[in-house]
Amino acid sequence: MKNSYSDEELIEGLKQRKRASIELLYREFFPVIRHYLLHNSGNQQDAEDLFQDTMVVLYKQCSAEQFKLECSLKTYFMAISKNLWLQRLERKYRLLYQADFSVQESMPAYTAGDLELQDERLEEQRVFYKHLMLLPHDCRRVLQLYCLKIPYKEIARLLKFKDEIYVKTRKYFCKSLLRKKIMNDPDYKLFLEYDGNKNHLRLD
Amino acid sequence: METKITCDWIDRFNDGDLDEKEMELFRKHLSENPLLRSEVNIDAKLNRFLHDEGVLDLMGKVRSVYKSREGNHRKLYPLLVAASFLFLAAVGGWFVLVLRTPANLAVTVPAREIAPKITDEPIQVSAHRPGIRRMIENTSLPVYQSSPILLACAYEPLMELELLVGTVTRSRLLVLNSPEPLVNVTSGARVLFSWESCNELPPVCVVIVNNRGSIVKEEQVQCASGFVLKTDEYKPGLYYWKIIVEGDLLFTGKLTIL
Repeated sequence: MKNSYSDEELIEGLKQRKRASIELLYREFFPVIRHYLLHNSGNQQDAEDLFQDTMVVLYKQCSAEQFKLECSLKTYFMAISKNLWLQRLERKYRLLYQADFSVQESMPAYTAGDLELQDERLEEQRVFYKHLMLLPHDCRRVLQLYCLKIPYKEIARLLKFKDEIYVKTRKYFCKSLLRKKIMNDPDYKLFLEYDGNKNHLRLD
Repeated sequence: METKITCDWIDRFNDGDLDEKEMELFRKHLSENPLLRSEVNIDAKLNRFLHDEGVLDLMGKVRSVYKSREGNHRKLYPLLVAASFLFLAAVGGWFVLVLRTPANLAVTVPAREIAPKITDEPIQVSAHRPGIRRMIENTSLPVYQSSPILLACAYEPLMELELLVGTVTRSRLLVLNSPEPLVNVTSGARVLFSWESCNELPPVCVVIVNNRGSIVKEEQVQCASGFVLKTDEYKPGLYYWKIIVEGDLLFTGKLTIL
């Protein structure tokens, strides 16, 4: 494995989701993110989550045709990370702040223009991924194949299920199981409450 | 017959598989039930997430990188412990070697068996032996020896002269006032040899011999009652001095330069 890559090579590798590029990005940037977070109200777990989210954002951005890197990759990567972390801190603070009913004043929100940069969405995805990985293997396969728009008949053949009706039933069951797990996740409950609060504020 | 909503309706609603009648009923439930609304919302988000194959794959790979790094670290722990142990053992051993003093070595090491050759040229003390350097510096000794073993050998007595120390072997009319038969001085000190005679002073030869029997200095003193020996040109060790008059050995003494 090469020890050094140019920024362009790393971006290209990330676009193709090459493990070598991901490892190199991890080796280069993860210590910086961890150092930043440990000095800014974060911990090791936060650093891992933030690194993954930053990778997702970077992957989505560099996959876009109009993407052009105008600074060093490290600067860009850290800018995304810091932006996400500020949003996360702001959201956590807001939850605490709004839980205190004695406080009546409203608080300006720190928002990122780009939808993909929105921390809530990334955090949601992380919860989804966590519970998807906790599903039984066949459930994961059914859902993944279904989402690749593979016909039920073909899924039944691939997974050696009896027929396509069983695949359909299995898919409903797995999806329902996944939804229930997500809805019962304490981290996701915060999202629901937060959504509720947002709706409440909007209605007022 | 009343139609009952089952959990698959959520999927079918988001997939657009409900027929018109079912859709109407579902919408009605949706408007009345906030929990159902949340579930439908989550299902829609899940569909988007599951369709994003690239992100799913990337997240999996990032997680596997974490795991492999964690695994590597776990594999490294026993190696680190072993390396730390070896390092401590090496450092400990080094200290034990360095902190052994020459005095201890003189007692424990049979110097005659080692029989090192002491050269006249000063030997640079190795920088890797800070204990030796410190010891020599503390005793204000010039740096001549390269190891404690050599230092110990320089103080080994010479038996053939040791027996003569302090004895007067010839009777002549010469009285030795100084030095005493056993003299300990630090390097650089001056040793006064003085004598007197009731008659005319004969020529006196002062001989300095090292502990291996070699003559290191021979001074003929004519018509004088003394001689000053400068020890700064001698390396630390054991020496013997002899006072010889007209070929006869009169006095023998021992001089230890520290």
